[in-house]
Amino acid sequence: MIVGSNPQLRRRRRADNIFRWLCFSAAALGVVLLITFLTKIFVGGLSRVDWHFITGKLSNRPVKTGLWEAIVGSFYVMILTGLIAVPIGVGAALYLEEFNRKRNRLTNFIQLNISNLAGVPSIVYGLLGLTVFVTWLSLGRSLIAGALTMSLLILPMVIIVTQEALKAVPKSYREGALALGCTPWQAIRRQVLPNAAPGIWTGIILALSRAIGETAPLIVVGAVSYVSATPKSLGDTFTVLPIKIFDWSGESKADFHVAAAGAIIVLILTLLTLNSVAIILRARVAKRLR
Amino acid sequence: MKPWILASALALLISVVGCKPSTDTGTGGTTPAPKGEAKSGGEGGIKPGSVTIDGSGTVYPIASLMAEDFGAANSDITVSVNKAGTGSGFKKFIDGSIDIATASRTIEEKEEADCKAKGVEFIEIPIAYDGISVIVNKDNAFVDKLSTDELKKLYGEDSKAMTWADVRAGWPADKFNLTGPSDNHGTYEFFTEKGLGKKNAIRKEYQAQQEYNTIIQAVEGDKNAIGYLGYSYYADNKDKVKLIPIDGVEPTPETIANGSYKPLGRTLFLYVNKKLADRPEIKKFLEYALSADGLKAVTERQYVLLPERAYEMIKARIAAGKTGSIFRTAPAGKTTVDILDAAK
Repeated sequence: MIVGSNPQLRRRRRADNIFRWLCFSAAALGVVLLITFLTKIFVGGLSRVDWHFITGKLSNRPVKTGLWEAIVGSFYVMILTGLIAVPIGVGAALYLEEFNRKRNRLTNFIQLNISNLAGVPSIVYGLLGLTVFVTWLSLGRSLIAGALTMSLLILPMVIIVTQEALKAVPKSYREGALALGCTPWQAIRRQVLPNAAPGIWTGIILALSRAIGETAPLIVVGAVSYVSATPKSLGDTFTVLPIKIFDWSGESKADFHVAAAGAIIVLILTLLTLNSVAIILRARVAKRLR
Repeated sequence: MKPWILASALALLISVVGCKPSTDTGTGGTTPAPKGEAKSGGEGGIKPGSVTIDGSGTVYPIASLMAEDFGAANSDITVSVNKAGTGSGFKKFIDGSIDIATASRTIEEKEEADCKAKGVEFIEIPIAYDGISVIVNKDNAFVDKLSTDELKKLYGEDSKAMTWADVRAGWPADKFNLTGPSDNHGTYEFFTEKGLGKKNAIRKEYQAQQEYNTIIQAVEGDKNAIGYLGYSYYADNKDKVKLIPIDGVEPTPETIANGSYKPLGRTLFLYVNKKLADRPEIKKFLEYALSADGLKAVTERQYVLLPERAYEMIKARIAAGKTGSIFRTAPAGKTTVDILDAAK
C-alpha cells in the first residue's frame, strides 16, 4: 500500500512532525536567547575590552577604568574557596562512599542534608556567612570571610560530584587491592583516587566557576563597590568581577554600561576557559576507563 | 581510620579560621596602628593602612572619586567605598565596622544615641550640596512645575489622588505611577520629611527602587511615571527625563548653592569616628578630601560645593576635635555657614 494514499496514516505522520517541531523550538529557544544575549553584550562591550581594561586599575571614571582589583579579587576568592572546600568536600565524599559503604541512619541523614544543601539559594549562604564568619568569628567584611562563605556554597556540589566519580571506579579495583593486603587507605590512595581524579577535578572546576560567577552572597558578606588596591592579606576588603558588573549596570552614566558589558565579556571568557578545561579532563577520563 | 578523615577536615577548617589574628596586625607592610585600636574594631573591619567608607548611594560618586585619586597618590593606603544606603551605613558605623559613614541626611537622634551607647564619638563633616530632583517622562508635556502641596497630593501618605487630574484640574485623567529610592536611602528619608512633611511616611502605591538607575529607567519608559533622585543622577541623564521645578524654582547648581531651591535642597555629610580620625591614614584622607584637589570630585560628578569659608570652618572643627551633630538640631532655614558660625 502506498503511504501517501492512506489518510489515517498521513494524519499520524503529520502529528508526529508537528510534535517534532515543537520539541525543536523548545530546544532552539535556549540557544536563540543565548545568542541574542551574547550578541548584545559583545556588540556593546567588545570595543572596551583590551589589555588596559584587564590590567588597569578600577576607576569611577567609566572611560578609563580597568578591572584589575576585581579580577585579582575574583582570583583570590576562587583559589581560597578551592583550598578550603576541596579537602573538606573530597574528605566527606571519601567517608560516605569508601569508609562507610554500609549505610546507617547517620550517614543517610548526612547524605540527605548534602543533597538538600545543594539546592539552597545562594543568598541564604550569604546570610549564614554574615552571621557566622563576619560577626561571630569577627573576620569582618574580608576576603577570608567571602572565601569561607563561597566554600560553604560549593561544598555540597564538590561532595556530590566526588561521590559520583568514586562510584564510577569499578569495585574490582578496590577488591583487588584489598585482596593483595592493602589497607583501605592504601587502596583508596593508590587505586581509587587516581582513577576518580579526572572526574573529581571536573566537578571541582565546575564548582569553582560557579563560585566566581556568584554575586549575591558576596554582597551580603561585604565585598565592596570600590577598593583602591588589591587585597594583600586575608583580612583585607575586596571586590569581585560580578559585583563590578552589578554596580556598573546600576550606574546612571551610559559609559558605565559599556564598561559593564566589557566586564561581562571578561567574566564569560574566564568561565568558558574553565569549563573547557573541565570538558577536556572528562574526555580524558572517559578514554582511560574504556 | 574513619574519624581520622573527619578530624583532619575539621582541623583544616579551624586552621583556616585561625589565620585571622595574623591578618589584624601587619597588613602588607603598611603603617601598623596601635594594636589596641586595631582590635577595637568590633567586627574587625577596621585595619591599619586602610580607610573603609560605606553609606549613601548619593555620596558614593563623590567618595569613590576621592578614594580613587587619594589611593593613586598613596599606594600604601587602601580605601574601600561601598553604597549600602545612608541608614545601613550608620548601622555599620555604630557597630564599628567602618571608619567613615557617608550620609545624604543628618544623623538621626536614635542613631546619635546608639553611637553614644557604643562609645562612638563622631565628627560631622558637610561635604557638598545636592538638590533632590523631581523628574517625569520626556513626553509628559503637561507637568511643567509642581508645588509642594501637589507633591503631597502625589506622594503623601493620606492622598487619595490617583490620576493627574486629581492633582491639578486640567491635567489628563490618566493614572500616575510613583517611583523613587527605597527606605534605606537618605534621599527617601529626606524627601518624605522635607517634601511631604512626615518622615518615612509615603503612600502604599509608591514603587521603591534600590538603585538610582532603575528610577531613571522607570521614568524613561513610562509616560505617566514620576520619580525623584539626587541632582547628579538627573544631570547624567538630562536627555532621558524631564526636570520639574518645585515651588517655581528649578534645581540648578546655582539655585542649590544659594539655597533658593527649597525644600528639597540638602547637605551631604561624612561622619568620621573621632577615635580613628587621629590615625595617620584617616587624617591624611580627610585632609585630602577637604583640599582643593579632593573637592574637585564634587564638581566633577555635578554636585555643588559649599562656600569656601564653610570648608575652612570645618577644617578648624576637625583640628579642634569637635564632636557631635550640629546640623541635626539646627533650626530650619539656616545656611551651612550660619550653622557653622553659630557652633564656633
